[in-house]
Amino acid sequence: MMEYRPERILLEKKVESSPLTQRVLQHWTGVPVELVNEAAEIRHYTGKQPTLALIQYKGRFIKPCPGTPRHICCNYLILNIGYNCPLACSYCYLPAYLENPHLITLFANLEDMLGELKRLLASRPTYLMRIGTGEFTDSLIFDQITRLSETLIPLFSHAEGYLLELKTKTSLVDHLLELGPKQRVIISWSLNTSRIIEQEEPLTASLEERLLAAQACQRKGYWIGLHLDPLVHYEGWMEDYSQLLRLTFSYLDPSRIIWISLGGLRFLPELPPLIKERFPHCRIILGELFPGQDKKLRYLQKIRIELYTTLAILIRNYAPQTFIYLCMETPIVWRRSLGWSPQSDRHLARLFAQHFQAVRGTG
Amino acid sequence: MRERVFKKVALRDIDLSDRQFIFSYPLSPERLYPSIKQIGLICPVLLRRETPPHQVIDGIQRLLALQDLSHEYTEAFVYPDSTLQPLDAFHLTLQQNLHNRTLNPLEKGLALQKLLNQFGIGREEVIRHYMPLLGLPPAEKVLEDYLSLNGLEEEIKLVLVREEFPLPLAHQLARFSPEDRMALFRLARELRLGLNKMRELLRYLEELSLRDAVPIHVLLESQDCQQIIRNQRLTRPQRVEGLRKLLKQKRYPRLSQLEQSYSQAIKRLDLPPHIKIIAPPYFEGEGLTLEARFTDASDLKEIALSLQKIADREEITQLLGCLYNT
Repeated sequence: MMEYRPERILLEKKVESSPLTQRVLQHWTGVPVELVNEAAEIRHYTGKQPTLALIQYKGRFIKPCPGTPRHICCNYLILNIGYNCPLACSYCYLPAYLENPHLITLFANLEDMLGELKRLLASRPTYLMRIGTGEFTDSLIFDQITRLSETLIPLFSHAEGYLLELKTKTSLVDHLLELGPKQRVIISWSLNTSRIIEQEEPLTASLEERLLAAQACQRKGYWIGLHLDPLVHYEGWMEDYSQLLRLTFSYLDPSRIIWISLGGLRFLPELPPLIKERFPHCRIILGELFPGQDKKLRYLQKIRIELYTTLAILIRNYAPQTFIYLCMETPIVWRRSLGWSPQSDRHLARLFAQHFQAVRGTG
Repeated sequence: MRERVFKKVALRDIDLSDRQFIFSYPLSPERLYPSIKQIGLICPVLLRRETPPHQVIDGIQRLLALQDLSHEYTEAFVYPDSTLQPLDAFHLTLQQNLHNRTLNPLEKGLALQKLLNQFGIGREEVIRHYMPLLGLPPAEKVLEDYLSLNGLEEEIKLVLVREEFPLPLAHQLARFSPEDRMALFRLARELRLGLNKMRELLRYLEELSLRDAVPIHVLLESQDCQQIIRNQRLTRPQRVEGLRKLLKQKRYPRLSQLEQSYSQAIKRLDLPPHIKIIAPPYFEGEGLTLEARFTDASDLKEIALSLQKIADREEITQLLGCLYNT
């Protein structure tokens, strides 16, 4: 896995003394630091060298996942800890939203973030709410430096009705192993075939590194989530995904895998030109992808159903009880792939809760 | 007015191979033969350096014509190099040309290249100051487009100057390898492709080339492409459409297969003209749409009967099979 080191740190004066800032500056001593008065000053930053910005985030830290129109969504809450990620996976959707791919932003006003989170956790949700930090960055890529999880994980121990999900493509988990209590924390890995990891995610941890890290977490009592996303359709995909699952279940105990999501490769329509520019030899954009009902580009429905059906059958061979769900898919694709479909987004959220209650008793 | 001397200069004292200040394109002195033969040189050339060999600032076409016509001398304004720095000389010829004529895109491209590479003017200044002077929008992308023209083959440059080839298309071709570029250029000429059609074909060709790791010129030389491009029994628009369909089919084999199997099933159903079965775009969706038009109750009954007849046909399963396995 690549080791990230910024060449420059932009620091908003207001968060100069924040504990997160101090930890970051201590870790990357020697990296030039430039103080800025306002975060707004770096909004249009055009520098081309790897740059880390530490700012005070003034918006809401917790927001519902926007989902996608006419597709079933899983009512997920995003805890936004920063923007962008140095892993630079070719298919990543972040460049479509970010002005500068070289700039990574971390929110250093932790007390505001934690205040908002504590207020939420104090309320009792009507159904199980899953909160994840891995939507706009990798949850663990900077966690050994920021130590954010050390604060987050204990907060969830008594947060009845909430689950914390830390989603990653790294193997940076050593600092998590002795933390606790862990019963409401899921460490999730995005997994893909070795071929896709090598070609499209070359800066991430290898498949075996990820699985070893997941195994270590599982052995220390964490629930594990797996996201087979994006599923890529290429010649030999079936064999490669079979191999991926064989390997996965040789490392992990299926009874401690809380869920597995499947998601076909998809792009915002504006993303392929950006991918072409950043990765001129990227081939996954050359699949047969067409605009769906939400305008995102996806494989033909028939191909997606073929992918999901095959993967679901393979998974059930190893983990018959594990909850499998589809990410951003239409009801017809759910029905044709898994044999059933949630009636609504809320229904899916309730199913998560039911499943969690069920495995909690047995896990 | 800058210091200069008007004098008669021997052609052998002029270095005609020094093109430091020259951006005229194409060099075609033969155009001037008739007028020189008839009335001689009307307008003196501009030279730099008091002592030989003189550098040509302006008038290379005239000098080449005089040389071709075996003249030995020319009338010239000679600027001393002590008072006219190279960039000043370039400004002089640029102003002179802009005053007298419109530069073609190749000349603009060459002038911009000289400013950047030869005279060391910064990119920003070239964009801000010189591009408006040349009648171009001050934008990085436009600068790149014009600079890219310098790398084109003579064959392409010449048709561009004659305005027989769309400039935006030339900008597009500039980013390809020489082999691919010439193959695309010949295709565009052969089929007289407009910008939009060419863009679509280019997209398919580029993606196929990247996907299959085959150069574009090899794709275009393939038998199936050549059979369409060279088919003289087809009109040009038919050949363009044929090539477009072939490339789309190669680029999207699964979609093409579904489209083909869908249209074959529809054909076999032989529906009455007022009944249509419509698939969602890209076969993405819950089901098929049935559209029927009737004008009275008996029409409606007839439709109901037709529908009843086709409901159990295997083709219906085939149509739905384009969306998902049934």
